[in-house]
Amino acid sequence: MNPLSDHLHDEDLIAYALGESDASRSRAIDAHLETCETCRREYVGLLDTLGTMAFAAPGRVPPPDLRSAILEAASKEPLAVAASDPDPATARRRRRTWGSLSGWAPRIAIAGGLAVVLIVAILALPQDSSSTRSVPLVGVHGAVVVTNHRAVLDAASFRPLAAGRTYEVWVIHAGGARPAGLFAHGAGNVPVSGAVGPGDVIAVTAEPAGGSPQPTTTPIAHAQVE
Amino acid sequence: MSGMTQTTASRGTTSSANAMHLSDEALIAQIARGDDGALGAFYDRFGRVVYSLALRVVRDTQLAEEATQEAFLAVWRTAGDYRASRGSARTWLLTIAHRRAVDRVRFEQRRVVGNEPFDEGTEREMREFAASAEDEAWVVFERERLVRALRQIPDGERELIELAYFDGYTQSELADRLGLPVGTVKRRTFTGLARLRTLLEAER
Ligand SMILES: [Zn+2]
Repeated sequence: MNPLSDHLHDEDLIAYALGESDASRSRAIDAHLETCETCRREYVGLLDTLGTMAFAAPGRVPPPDLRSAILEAASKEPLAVAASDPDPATARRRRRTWGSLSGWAPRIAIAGGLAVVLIVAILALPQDSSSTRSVPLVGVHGAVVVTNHRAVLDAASFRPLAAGRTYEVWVIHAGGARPAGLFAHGAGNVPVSGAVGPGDVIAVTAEPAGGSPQPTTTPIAHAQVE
Repeated sequence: MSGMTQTTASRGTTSSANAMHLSDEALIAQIARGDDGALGAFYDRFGRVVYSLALRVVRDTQLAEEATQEAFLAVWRTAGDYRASRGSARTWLLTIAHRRAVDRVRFEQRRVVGNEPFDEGTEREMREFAASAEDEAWVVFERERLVRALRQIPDGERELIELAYFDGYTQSELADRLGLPVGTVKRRTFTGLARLRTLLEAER
């Protein structure tokens, strides 16, 4: 399929709309849809019609506590990347990374497991050293600025948390995680308490109000000090 | 919306009263900013539809609850990915919800063929549903419009659509099951959906 000439076949459209195209086919179809208005209109119409099929299901009432269960679960979710991420593809990739982390992270011993996860990141990152460095956060739009073993977190893009929750900053190294301050939505620049060194990872989790001595949830964002 | 559960309106979140006036797309934009009030409002608008769809697909109330929760959490996580160029917010939600339910049923291998009610209480809940507050009128309208349209498409095409959509069969599974080439199954499903689309648009 040439994305520039041939339009998508009906068979491609139906398979894609039903989520049955394999990964490489999906990418090619998605790329074509991105550029071809004709096929996009066809695809949207197809998806819309399939969506309408939902109304053929017999109407049933969900249990009344499902709403609060969903909102409760949402309040504990690692938050999505800020919508302001300049590159939507990067944003989606990052989000997926955190999505998969959040799946298994609760099942591991939090402090040790976290260190393992982040050591993988440490090994993967190139080392560089100069007096003031800005390292972009992974997970939320923002950065950590490090000058002479002191770090400041740009926390402007963190979303509001549910009542009774706070953001907590951690400095993580091979020996474990150390609490490095609390902040709330809208905090702007947050100083990371204590010294940080090369290879340390600055991470942020959502914790119960007052903070926790060790992380109890999956990090929402992290950055590694270079 | 009288059926709406009360939301504790905290600073920076959408209250139920405000949400009534927001379009589906505007709610998604609010959800992308981390507004849990907007998520609650989105659930109030579509929770029953999503749950009903999930239950029809998975045929188990526990699994349907899980699939519904997964769908709305997926909305919470990925609202920033929503692209208006790829369809309405409602279609986006229903696509997510459908995939979650189908994934569930494939995973659990609990697929059951047929359209018969699978437990008692359906009739009672249907009545409850139909008799609920005026905010559900649009759902009743959509269902009636769809049922009228479905009646007008050929049986073979309608069956394929229903087997694919509600029973989670892949196109190649349907080909095996019906002894047809997979290309025929895809074309027939596509033709049926194109027909359905034309009929639905004519009814709008
Ligand atoms: Zn095209």
